[in-house]
Amino acid sequence: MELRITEVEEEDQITHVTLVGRLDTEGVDEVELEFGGAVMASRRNAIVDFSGVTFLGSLGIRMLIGAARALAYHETKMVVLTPQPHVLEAMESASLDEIIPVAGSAEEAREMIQRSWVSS
Amino acid sequence: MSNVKNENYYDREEDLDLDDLEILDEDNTRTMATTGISSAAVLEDRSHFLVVIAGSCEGCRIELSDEPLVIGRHHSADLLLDDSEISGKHCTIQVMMGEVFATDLESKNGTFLDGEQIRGTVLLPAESTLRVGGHVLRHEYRNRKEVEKTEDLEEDLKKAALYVRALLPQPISTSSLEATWCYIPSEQLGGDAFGYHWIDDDHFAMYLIDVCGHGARAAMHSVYAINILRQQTLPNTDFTKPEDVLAGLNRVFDMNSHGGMYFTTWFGIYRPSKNRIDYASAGHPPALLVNPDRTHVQKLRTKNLPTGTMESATRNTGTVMIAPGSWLYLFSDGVYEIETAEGVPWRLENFQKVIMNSSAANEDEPNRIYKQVEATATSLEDDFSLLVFRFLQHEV
Repeated sequence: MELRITEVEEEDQITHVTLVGRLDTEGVDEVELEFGGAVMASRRNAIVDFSGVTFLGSLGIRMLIGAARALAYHETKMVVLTPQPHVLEAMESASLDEIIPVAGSAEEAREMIQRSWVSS
Repeated sequence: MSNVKNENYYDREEDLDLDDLEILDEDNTRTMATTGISSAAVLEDRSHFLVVIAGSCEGCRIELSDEPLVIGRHHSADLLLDDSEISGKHCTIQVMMGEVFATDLESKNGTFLDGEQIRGTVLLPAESTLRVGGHVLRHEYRNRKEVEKTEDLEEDLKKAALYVRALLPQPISTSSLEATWCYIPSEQLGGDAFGYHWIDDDHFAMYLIDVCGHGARAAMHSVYAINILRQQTLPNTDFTKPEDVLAGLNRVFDMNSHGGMYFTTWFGIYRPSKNRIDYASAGHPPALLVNPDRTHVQKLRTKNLPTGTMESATRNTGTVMIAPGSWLYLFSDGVYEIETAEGVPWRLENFQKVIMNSSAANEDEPNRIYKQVEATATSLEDDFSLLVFRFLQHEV
């Protein structure tokens, strides 16, 4: 599992994070602390590029839920960008899209962050 | 033994010095000599063990001694391995001068130390692996008490696994209802748990939970939750109402109070008098309802976050009318989150096809489906839980 963190875009104050690999038990072990630091501790809005994630397991879901909860507490948001179809299916099966919006492009992700959204 | 040097091996005061190891041959065989024995080994009550890590008798642990241990297929072998690629007397393992040596007995298919074929006698370092045929053996050099504790722990895990099994429901086969299941945990203890029971004459509860992660921790959490469902001990909860049950579970199992653990849930109530199922799911894959002539499948799930993840989780529910003779397949995501031999990840629709391929599901249905999934997957890395219900004519 690989985690890449892009420099914060000063204009939008958005943290860009890219995850590559399997978010299974081992993958989460490798990146969870750094992911938490980048996404949660920063208290900024975040766009997480999921295009390179090849598997999302239950511990990966927990990592995302933890991040979403922490960000919601600080009234910031996280958007997941272009997950692969079977990963998107796992997110939808867990109803993650209720609290973490999914965008099909970077532009759409920015728009989602800028406009307010409320989970149903 | 002819190509092993024995210089100074009685000098027990010297620690083993890797510089003293001498590779004698330049080809792909490895022959080494030692010139000392670690004195620390004597003090720590350590012993040499050979552990089968792949093949039949996986997990078997044999303490090595200065008597040669013969490994082979012949009935006279000390470690008898039923493997057609292993010779009758394939190799020996022996402790000499405090070290372990492996000797290939001119076996037909060879003996391999960490991937390299050996000839004659070679040193078998601690933590190295020996492959004979389809079996892999690891040399462990461990404290005896540590080994005993490991074996005790494994014994405890076996007992815990038996306890978890004992909680699973008996199959049902009556004129009005059939229920069978297949449960294969990915480790000795899994995080899936399920059950079903009659609340009263007209309410049959069916439920499956999937705790995040595997192992003892997830199993303990799942046992706690499933016992609450079986015994209906959620306070202020009407167990005939799925939305109430989900809300109650969400209150009790807040992940902040349970070490960050959450689980997905599917809970349904079959009403025979009304030919109806009321259901609610929380982050769980949909149950699949198949009509009597098996031409149509309907997904039963509701949009709720996994149990314990959010205080204000929604309480969406669903209701479906069912025709007598319908089937309901309830499962955890471990049944379809697999990769094929070609490295292609499966999705729910692939699993759905396996279900619909059967023209006449019977009491062996869960096992049939399991065998098909197992044959397709490179490995099953998650718990496999599948329940199959058949709702027959309602008895008046």
